[in-house]
Amino acid sequence: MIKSRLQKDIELEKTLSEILQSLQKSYKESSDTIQAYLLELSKEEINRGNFVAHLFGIRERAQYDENNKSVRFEYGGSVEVPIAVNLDSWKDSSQLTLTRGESLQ
Amino acid sequence: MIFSYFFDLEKKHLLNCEFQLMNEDSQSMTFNLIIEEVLDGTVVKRETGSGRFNFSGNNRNINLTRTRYSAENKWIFEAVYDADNSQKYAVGLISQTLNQNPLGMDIKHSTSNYRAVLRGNNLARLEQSYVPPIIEQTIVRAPFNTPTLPKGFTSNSAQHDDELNLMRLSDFHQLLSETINPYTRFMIKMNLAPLSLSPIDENIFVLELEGIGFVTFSQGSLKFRQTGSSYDEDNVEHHLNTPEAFFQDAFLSPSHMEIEGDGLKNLRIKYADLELLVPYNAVQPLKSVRFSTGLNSEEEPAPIVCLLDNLLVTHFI
Repeated sequence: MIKSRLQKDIELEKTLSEILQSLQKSYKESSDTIQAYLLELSKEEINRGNFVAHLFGIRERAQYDENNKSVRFEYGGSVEVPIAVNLDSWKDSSQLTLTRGESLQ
Repeated sequence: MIFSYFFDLEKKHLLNCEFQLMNEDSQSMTFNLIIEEVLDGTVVKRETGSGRFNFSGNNRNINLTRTRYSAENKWIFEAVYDADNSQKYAVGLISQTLNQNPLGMDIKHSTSNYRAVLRGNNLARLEQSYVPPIIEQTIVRAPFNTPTLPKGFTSNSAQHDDELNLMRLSDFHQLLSETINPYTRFMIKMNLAPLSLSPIDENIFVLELEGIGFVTFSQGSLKFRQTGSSYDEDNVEHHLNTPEAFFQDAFLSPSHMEIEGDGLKNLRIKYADLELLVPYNAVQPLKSVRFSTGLNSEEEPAPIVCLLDNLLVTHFI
């Protein structure tokens, strides 16, 4: 009985590790794809107007406002911004406004 | 607000730029700026600064800029008050390992009791006329919280005081991991307290900035002599009777030593609440600092023991 449980555990570990590997692989692939597209977009935008606007991946406690392209955060909120540029030197800017209070309006 | 640039998908190699609000009222806000390189969960480089914005009108907007200037391996984090661009603070890192573009960044809102809004988020080409600011870079920072010696620090006498978290020693040599180049402004700071005194006219200690000169402290004076010279540039006289002026349960103001070279020709030495302004030779690079004490005035003279803490060496590049 112990032996068969051990066998089960080993199989489970193998399956999980395969799933993890496949997830990591697809994560790497989607990152490569995003990087490739974004590099082209950044090139175009920077050539045209000297800058490229950030794209946001929104997590909890953060909201993107399409109208003025701003991001609102509650305490603990976070977002992710992919970056791909063919410039060696650049500046990355944001204007921050902090207002007392906890929740989003 | 933390802007965390990542250089690998596992987010093990990071450059964090943090704007940390300390205090805010209707008139002003005070804050810290932190820039740090993290590798596998360990901070490998870190610089901090603090600032204060005095508000005009209702404008509370702060412009936060992160700049990569690859020609000098420089990363700069700058906070500018939107209504008055002369209110500006910056910290920066020079790192040989941050030598590529990040894959992305995480932005985290880290100030409790506040909502945050970020606008105008973009990455832009630097202006052709851009000149990166001179930034303070830490070469040695030793708070001596553990018996582990800082990199490049050697001593024949050093003993860690586990209660006070400082070093007791009569000598040390600090080899700098980065040479301070000629014509470069630098700063050396430490808390230093002799526990006994030498006979009058004999040295309590000598601190040598190797290649530049010797700072000598005795009961009667604080003086500076350039390397290779046979006379003191200048000295300030004082009368010291007891070592208690430097340390009583904690370091007292006279124990704060500060030596600042302006990178041109002026050296400012502050110790024992005295200040000595002398010329120095800024052509010489500074690669190490050497410290040794004299003998005390007891019947069987022994090297004077000093308490040492918070050794800091920085340069401005």
